[in-house]
Amino acid sequence: MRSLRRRVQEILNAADFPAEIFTGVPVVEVHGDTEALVIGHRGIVSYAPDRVVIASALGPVTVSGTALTVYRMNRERILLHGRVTAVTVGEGEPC
Amino acid sequence: MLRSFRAWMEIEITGANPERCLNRFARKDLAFWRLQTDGPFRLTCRVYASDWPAVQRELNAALCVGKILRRGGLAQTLSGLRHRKVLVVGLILAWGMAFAAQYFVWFILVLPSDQIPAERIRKAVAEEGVRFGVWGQGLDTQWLKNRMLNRIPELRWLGVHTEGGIAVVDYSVRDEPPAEGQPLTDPANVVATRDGVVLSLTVHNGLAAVEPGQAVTAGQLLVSGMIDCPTHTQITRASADVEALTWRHLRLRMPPSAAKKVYTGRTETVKTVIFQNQRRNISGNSSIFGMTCDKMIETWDLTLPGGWSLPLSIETVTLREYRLKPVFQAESEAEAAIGPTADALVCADLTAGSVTSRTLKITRTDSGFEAAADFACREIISRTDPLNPFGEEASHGENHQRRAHGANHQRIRLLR
Repeated sequence: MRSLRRRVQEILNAADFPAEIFTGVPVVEVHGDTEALVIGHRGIVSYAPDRVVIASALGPVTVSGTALTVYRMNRERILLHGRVTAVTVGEGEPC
Repeated sequence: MLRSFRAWMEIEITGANPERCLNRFARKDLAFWRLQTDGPFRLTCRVYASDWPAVQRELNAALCVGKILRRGGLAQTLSGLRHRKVLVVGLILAWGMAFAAQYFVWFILVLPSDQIPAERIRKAVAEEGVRFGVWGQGLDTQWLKNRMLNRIPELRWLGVHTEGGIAVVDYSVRDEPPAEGQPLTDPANVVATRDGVVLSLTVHNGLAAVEPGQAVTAGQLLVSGMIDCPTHTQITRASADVEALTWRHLRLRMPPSAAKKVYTGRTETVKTVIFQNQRRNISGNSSIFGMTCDKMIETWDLTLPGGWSLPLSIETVTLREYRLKPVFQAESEAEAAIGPTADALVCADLTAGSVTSRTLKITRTDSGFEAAADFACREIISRTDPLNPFGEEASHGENHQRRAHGANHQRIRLLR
């Protein structure tokens, strides 16, 4: 499954198509160190001011920092405010 | 910012996994903000009050418990006015009146001018309808201008425009018309206005015909406007300041008794509120004692900071009753009464000068007192008299110089 998704992604990249639309992989944008935007999430796994874990198609996306807060959230995107120090994509359990 | 207009509520979410509620809120498009965590099992956030039923459903589905901590928002604040209908009506009325007030005239600002006093313009426009409380948009400026030009002839133009509640009166004044009579360049002599002895003579233009110490009579030539030169006669406008010692004699009569005020001690104070031209007594009786009372009026005009005067003033009238009591006077009293009167009469008659000495002699007669006063004065007696070099007036006074030289009209050159 994962190899198929990777294969589709390679084809879409070669055709200059936005891969996240077809594959559902999350897009993570970090604006400076004060804002992090996760598009294509699958919900918040855990929330703490120093660590927010967000479920995605690639597994949990972990945003670390200080004074993190969910500024805006809808079914598509989560906007985090605070001081962002790291974003990692790793294993986790979606909610 | 916009969220504060809608009613919101701050809720506390408690459960094993409160994040699950946030996910459910997001799926149902339920807005939340000001998210704060208070441990792993408790969150606080704000949601719209109108979403509260849906929020409760999602909380139950996520096995969490919600508790309202507080409510807020402009709508929430204003919802308290539902029970204060009079206050709401009052606020709306106040707002409406404040909005409408700008279309009425509350103050009249007359731009200052040197030629015409502002108060004269203010009174005139008030009589033409520009007064406190009139509808500012209804002022017919063209009609007002025509009326004001008729009323005040010195005006060349007048305009009124409103700025908020202020009627600004702007105007311009006609240029000064040229002085009537002879222009100041016409030939003239200087003659004496009354009999006297010349004390000093300052000739600005012309030829002096008298000297200090010389006695002159009224109408006598003092400075001639015709100056004989070796080749011609110059005719000019003579100008001079001639100070002379003059005398005046006055005869005054005074009755043997005079009426003297004796105050009865009865006073009355009347306070009146004047709004525009309407008067309303607020204290005291408006009846007066008749003609035998002193009347003192004090007016206090109400003004706002900045000098804006309101058409409201308080007038205080103090009446003090007296009776007239005939008092027979001694000669000394008659002299004390006649002296200042005589001085005032003479001073009023002096054009430019002063009284140097006075002799007053009072005699008692059957009909009262008779005073004879002699005054010695120092005064300017020079007066300009037009000169016609080609007419009979050319030989006016003692223009002997011209006669002596046999004036030749062909040689006369007018100097202007």
